Amino acid sequence: MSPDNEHVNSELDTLIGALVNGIATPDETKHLEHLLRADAAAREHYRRYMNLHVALLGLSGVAMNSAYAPLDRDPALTTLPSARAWSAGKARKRWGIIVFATAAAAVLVLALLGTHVRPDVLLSKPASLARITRSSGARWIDDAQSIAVDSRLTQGLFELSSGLIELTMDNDATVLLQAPVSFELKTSRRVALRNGHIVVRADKTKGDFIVETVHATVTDLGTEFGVGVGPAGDTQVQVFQGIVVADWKAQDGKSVGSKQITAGQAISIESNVGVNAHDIPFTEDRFIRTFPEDDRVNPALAVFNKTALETIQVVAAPLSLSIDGNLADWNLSGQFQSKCVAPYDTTYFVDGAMMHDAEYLYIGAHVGDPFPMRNSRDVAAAPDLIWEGGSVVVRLSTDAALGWPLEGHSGYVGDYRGDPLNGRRPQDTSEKIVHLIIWYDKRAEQPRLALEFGMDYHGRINFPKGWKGVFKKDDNEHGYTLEYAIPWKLLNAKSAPRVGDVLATSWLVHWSDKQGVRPRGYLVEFKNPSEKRVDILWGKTFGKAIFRANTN
Amino acid sequence: MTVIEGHRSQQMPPPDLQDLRLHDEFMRLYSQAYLSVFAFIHTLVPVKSDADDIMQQTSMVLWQKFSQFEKGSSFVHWAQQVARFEVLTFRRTHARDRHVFSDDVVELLASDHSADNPLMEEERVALIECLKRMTPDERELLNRCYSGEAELKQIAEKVGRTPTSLYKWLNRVRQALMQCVGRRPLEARRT
Repeated sequence: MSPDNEHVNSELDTLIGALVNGIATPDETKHLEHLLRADAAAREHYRRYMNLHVALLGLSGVAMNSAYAPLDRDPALTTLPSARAWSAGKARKRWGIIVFATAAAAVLVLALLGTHVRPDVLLSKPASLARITRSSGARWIDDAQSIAVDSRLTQGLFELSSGLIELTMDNDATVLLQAPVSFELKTSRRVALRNGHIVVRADKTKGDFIVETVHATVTDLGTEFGVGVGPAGDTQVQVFQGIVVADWKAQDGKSVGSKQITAGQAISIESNVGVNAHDIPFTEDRFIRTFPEDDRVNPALAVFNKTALETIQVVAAPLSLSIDGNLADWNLSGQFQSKCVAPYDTTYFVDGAMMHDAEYLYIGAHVGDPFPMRNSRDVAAAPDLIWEGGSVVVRLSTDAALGWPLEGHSGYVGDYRGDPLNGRRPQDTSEKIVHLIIWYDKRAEQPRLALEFGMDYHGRINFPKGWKGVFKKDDNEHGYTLEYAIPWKLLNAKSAPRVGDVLATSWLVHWSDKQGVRPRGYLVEFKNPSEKRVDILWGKTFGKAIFRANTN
Repeated sequence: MTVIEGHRSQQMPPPDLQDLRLHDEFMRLYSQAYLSVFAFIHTLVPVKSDADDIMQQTSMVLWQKFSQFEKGSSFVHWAQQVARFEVLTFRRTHARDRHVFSDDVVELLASDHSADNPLMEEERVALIECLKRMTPDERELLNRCYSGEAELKQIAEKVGRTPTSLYKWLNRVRQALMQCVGRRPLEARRT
């Protein structure tokens, strides 16, 4: 931006700020109008300002206090969300008219549907039936604020527009609901599912748990099972553990069939000529085992684990090692494990390891991934976005002199905003801070490695030479193993790190959608315990790689 | 502890499935489009209470005309067309002295507005990330000023500043956010 533009934008900001705060004088308004009339760039700036203003109106509250992070949120900073807008006049003023407008539309919709909200229903206090025990990127359809844990839900109808919530019912059953889903809590043991997916884990000793749909009643007999209702009301039932009984019913509500379903079985109940049921294949990822397909949440921000590890032990490699996608010949004494939070923990995880010798850095990992090795992004077309299709990204300082914590940063970080050397210091731009992006290129059917350098991420090399790497898909296709050997010289290290060196590192594992195109979530590990979270632009947040002859 | 109430009890008769589907589809699209449409309206009508009224009216018209919405086309684009008409209607039916911008400027702003305003979501996500970079005091300032719980003057009194200095501070914070938001979509790609 030129100084002239900066001056004009600063003047615009002052005028627009006065306008939206209701303190603009007539002359100021007239001047602003003149600028907007004369200059398309001024109008674009005005549009961006108003977008920011509206977004701030929408975010006031939880997001500003917690600076939204799906799972890294500090509960102490989180304010409770507003009550649902159309429920007994509990709309909070902070979200004010925006919620009111949404609520007005919703009430209008209900009115137009002929299902008016009865005053007696609104005035009576429905029973509280469940507590929200987990919330991940979750929002009610009528409330832009994130849903906070520990809120209680009453009897009634709810609709989730994004994310996932876990309810602990008052009979101790656990209910997982993934958006988009519409459901009605009837009792602490009975839920009516109108559309979307639900997974129930219930204990038989606490009584039956029942999920109703338009075509079926599914009674749990102490188990874990999933029920899904599609747009036409068709119902799918799948049992992960134990036994359930599914009864399907005709339009008049009379039962017309029944089936006991055991672990590993699934059925579909559909309404064609009559209501019928038939077996369908059991698939692990049918119910809330994969990350939400929600494009409204920026997946780049969707961290799905609680970063817990500070240190990875980089151990000595054995003398004989084959790079073949099988880690059986590795020294795994420094291996770490990290997994996403439940219910994704059995699907998305990484068992990772690093080793060293005089010539190579070795990176090995077994990654749980329901859509393994599908990265279909074109590295030549958009190299910066290759990680989105599924990847493992390892950041490592290869220079012990840079020390730990690593002081380099990108220049975009908090306290340094006014510093003229902001992000341009030697420790910011060091060639020895290396970002290794590792992925399997489905289009070329080849393992890949790309490199970037410094905290300013310069000097990207898309196709470096001299490294060896293999990806191998799990037999059950629920994950993959990667095994890489990367010469130290490619990482700009004069020589291999010495035993005892402490270097900065962090790992990110990115998972994509089925197509290997859009990112769906990631896991991050190795964090400086003094920092709240890993910031890829700030080296001091990275954890430690301690080089060992072997683990202690 | 917050208690979140369901909006209907089990005594309510179940609505017709077809209507329910239509309602669900409308609410899904409407909630996704909400911020974009409101930003569009507020850009043309900077007085927030007026923008709120127009948004409310627009939401009603959107539902009434939802059957005319062509499935597969852009809901945001359609909603903005409806909103543009509602803005014009509002300007025609309300007193002239309530207008901030003259007709030609409103027309220019509306024409400039890209149909789906694709940056809106990106900017909003970037904003969340940028808020993390503000100091706690700055976030608190934004929270107070945007919560709608008090006027700027009252907030100034509470925090022991003059309204002018508070307003200047708010402007500086907004400018810093604007700059950060402009950068973040690029930064996010470096993950």
